[in-house]
Amino acid sequence: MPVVEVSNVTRTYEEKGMPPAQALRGVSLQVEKGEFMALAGPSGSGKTTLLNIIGGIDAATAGQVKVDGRELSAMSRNELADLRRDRIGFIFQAYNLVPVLTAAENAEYVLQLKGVPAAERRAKVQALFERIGLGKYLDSRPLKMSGGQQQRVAVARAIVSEPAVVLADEPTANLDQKTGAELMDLMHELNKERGITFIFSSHDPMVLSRAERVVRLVDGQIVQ
Amino acid sequence: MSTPLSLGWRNIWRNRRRTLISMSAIGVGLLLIVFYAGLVGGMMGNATSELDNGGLGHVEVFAKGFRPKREIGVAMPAFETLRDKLQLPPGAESGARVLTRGLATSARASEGVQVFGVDFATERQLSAHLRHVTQGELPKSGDAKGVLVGEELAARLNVKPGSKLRLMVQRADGEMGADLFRVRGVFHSIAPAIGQRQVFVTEAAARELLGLDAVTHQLVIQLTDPKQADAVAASLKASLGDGYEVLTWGELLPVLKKMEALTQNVVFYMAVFVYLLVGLGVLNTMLMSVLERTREFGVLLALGTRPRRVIQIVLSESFWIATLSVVAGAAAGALLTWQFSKAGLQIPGGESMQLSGATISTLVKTKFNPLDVLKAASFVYVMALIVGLYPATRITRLQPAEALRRT
Amino acid sequence: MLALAWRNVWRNARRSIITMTALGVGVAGIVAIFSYREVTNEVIVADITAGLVGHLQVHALGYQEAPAIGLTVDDPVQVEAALEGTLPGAKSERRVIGAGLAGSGDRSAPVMVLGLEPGVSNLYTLATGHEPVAAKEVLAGKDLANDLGLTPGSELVLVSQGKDGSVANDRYTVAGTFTSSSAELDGNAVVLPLAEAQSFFALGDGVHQLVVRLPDQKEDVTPETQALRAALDLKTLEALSWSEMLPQMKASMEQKRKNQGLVDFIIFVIVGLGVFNAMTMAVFERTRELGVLGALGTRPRRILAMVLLESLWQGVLAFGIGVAIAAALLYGIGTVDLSSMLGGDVMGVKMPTHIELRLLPASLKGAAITAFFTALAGALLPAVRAMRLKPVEALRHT
Repeated sequence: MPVVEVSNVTRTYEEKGMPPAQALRGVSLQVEKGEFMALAGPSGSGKTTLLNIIGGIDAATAGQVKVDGRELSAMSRNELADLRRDRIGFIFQAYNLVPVLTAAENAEYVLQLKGVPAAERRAKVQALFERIGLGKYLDSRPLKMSGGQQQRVAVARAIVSEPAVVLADEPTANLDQKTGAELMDLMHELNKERGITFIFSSHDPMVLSRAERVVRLVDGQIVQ
Repeated sequence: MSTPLSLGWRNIWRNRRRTLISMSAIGVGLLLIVFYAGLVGGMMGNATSELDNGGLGHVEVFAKGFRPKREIGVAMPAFETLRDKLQLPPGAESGARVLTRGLATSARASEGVQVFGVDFATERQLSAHLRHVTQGELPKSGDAKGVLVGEELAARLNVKPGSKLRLMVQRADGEMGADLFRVRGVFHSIAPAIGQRQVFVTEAAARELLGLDAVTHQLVIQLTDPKQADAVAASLKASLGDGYEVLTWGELLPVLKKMEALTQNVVFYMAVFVYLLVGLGVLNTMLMSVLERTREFGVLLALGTRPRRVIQIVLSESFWIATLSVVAGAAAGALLTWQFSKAGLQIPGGESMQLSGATISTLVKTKFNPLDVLKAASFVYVMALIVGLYPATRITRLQPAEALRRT
Repeated sequence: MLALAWRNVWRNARRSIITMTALGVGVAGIVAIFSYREVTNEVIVADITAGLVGHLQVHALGYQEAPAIGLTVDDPVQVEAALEGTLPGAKSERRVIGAGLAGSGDRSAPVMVLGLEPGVSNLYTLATGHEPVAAKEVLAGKDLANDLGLTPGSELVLVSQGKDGSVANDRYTVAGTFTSSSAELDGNAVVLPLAEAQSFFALGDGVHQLVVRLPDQKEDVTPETQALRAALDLKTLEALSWSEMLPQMKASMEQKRKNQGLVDFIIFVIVGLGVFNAMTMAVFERTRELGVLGALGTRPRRILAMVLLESLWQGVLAFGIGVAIAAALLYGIGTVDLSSMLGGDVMGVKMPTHIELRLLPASLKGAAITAFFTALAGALLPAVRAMRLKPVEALRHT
């Protein structure tokens, strides 16, 4: 069964005083477990919108979205929140981390939401941080870390609860080429090691070249 | 730890100055209210506990039928006989008086006066003005012709210790009686009306002047705790029986009782006003502080935080600000009130205030009442709740994606 | 620039409205408290000056401090002439005041004996019976009549000391009873026609008080009092304003007025903090924009003025809102019934039972000044900061 199933999804924005804008028009997509894929397209193509809808943080105007076998339109806000907590990981372009929490606290946030005891949380995060090379930064404040380090913490946070899929919106856009490439390679390694599905949205050729599958969007529709 | 309480605490220190300003506003408001309540409470407390300013009693006893005409024939047995029947709480002061109205005449002028026939030793405890003799001294017991007058009366009649004063009254047998007295001393009262009206002679001298046997008209009892008055009055009614009228200060000075309720109201409305002002200011601050973190809250929602938890985080921020402010404001208020509870705050405008027979001293010893702090604190917390809920619900109503879009 | 500042106010409408509401509530508080207090004062002063004390009085020198039966104004006509000359339109009333013992049947009480001009004095209102018309008729205070068991027709004996030291003693008939604005009078006073009182105390033509009422009601009669003093022989006479005769009442009124200043200050501090916060944010959000303006050549002073004007606009609007709220409050409450609250007298003067609330224009001055300075002071620091921004750094801001 595919991890993500998008069927004929439309997303229309209504803003006061302006004609309605269609960000997505009848988009359909299937993503299997373990894929490392990218949504590509120019700005305004709807890739971020599609990512948001898959992640349950935006609602489709029409169509069905199933994540991990669950139909999102039938779920309440609390159920969606719980789904995100348990089965979906997010990485954003910037301002991922909560400034008043340490790197470790940021990473273990979702575990704490789930009620995992402190010792176990710490152990998991520590192991993960060692894996991604941030072992010495467990108790650092995000503001003291470089952009690349902050993004790596975001990655740790995204996968620490072993989600079904990780959604990353332009994760390298604020990083220089070298750091961005390192980040992509790290995510690819984790994808191979743990079988976690990754879906990116980006227009950066460096990112797209590392994806195993690229789906292109133009003006809210998938093109081949 | 990222529990709402811990996150809230850390969040309020992100913009230290803004937080401190909010806390100052709330704290100052609390300080004002606590101090004002202490002032007003002190005034009321003084008025009810310091009845000796006016020589009034927490409980007074008369022969039935004496009031309101005050006919000298309607009298009670002498104090010595009654004293055993009184079972008074420890610390209570009591004494009896022979009362009449009369005309005091000197070479210069005449004035209407209230004549008090007393035992000066006990009356000293009951009337503060007898403890403030500015010229001469109190008449000694057994002094058949000595009289004590107030400063204002002495000025009007142009008398001083040693001067002659004629007291004219209506005797028990209906005839006019008059006698010549000598001024032994002049007293000072914080109430000019008392200094102008009250003259004191010994019980024996008053009875002689009025042609009375060994009787008294008024029994005055002052208690250490005004709240005991009702119980004491009840026990006196029981032990003295039908021929007597026993009244509490609440019945003698109904205005004073009303004042208590009135001043509570005033403090309440003042608190509402102050906290409306403070609340509006803090609302703005809270709004700004929350709205500028819309994106951050969006991230938390995206990660799977339930909307209710986000509201809890914001509410815990206003909770912490409220708590710190309350502690600071209450401490400052307590300190200030304590400071003035010893020396007293002199309210300008004379030494005393007269309110329908009650004398209220203007040197107010403020009273710190922890209950007032609790009441004011609850205001603060209610305000904090409202001020936190409004911005928080604005954010959680958004789709997480919308929140993320905001810079 | 005024227009620009105005538009800036509305950029974050919600924040501005909250700030203006806070300031408006403060203004409303100032206006309402002031109006309530001064309307109450007006009524009290009107009571005092209409009845008991008048606006000012003339006595024999030293009478106010130590009244004595023998201390009289021997030539009232001369004083009245002086009054005509200096205060045209003022009315005066002659009074005799003494103390004595009044007896009826087997009851007696010390009383104040008042000699008042029939038909002229409005010190009392008739309760029962009629005004004294026949010879040897008097009026008694209602409570006094109660005490002594007097009714119209009762006989009353008055005993006192005359001016020459002799015993004054006479028998009168009670024509009626009266009430007045003073609890003391009601309980202790007997009113005689003036001539009767003068003869009882052997005063000749002398009177103790000349009570003057001015044609226009006012609280401060110091200029009039001084004018009259200039026309009198101050070696034998004294002229005193009502506030000099009731210093405690006056002092209490003045003290309450001073307290208003404290209230204004507290509001200034609390609301000022709110304004400070709001304006700081407003400036911060526009840092880049201010940088652009600076780069384009706007002088720093102009930027300062822009920010200050933005706050002052809010002050103006808030003032309007506040006055509206105060008016709604005052006229909404309408008439205040004090009798249930206090029911009695304060410092010997019976408190008015009903006060009709109005918004007094005099209250607006203090409120406007407070609003102005609060808006100004709160915005000062942010405005100065805006003025000091270096365009280069500001442009780097988001």
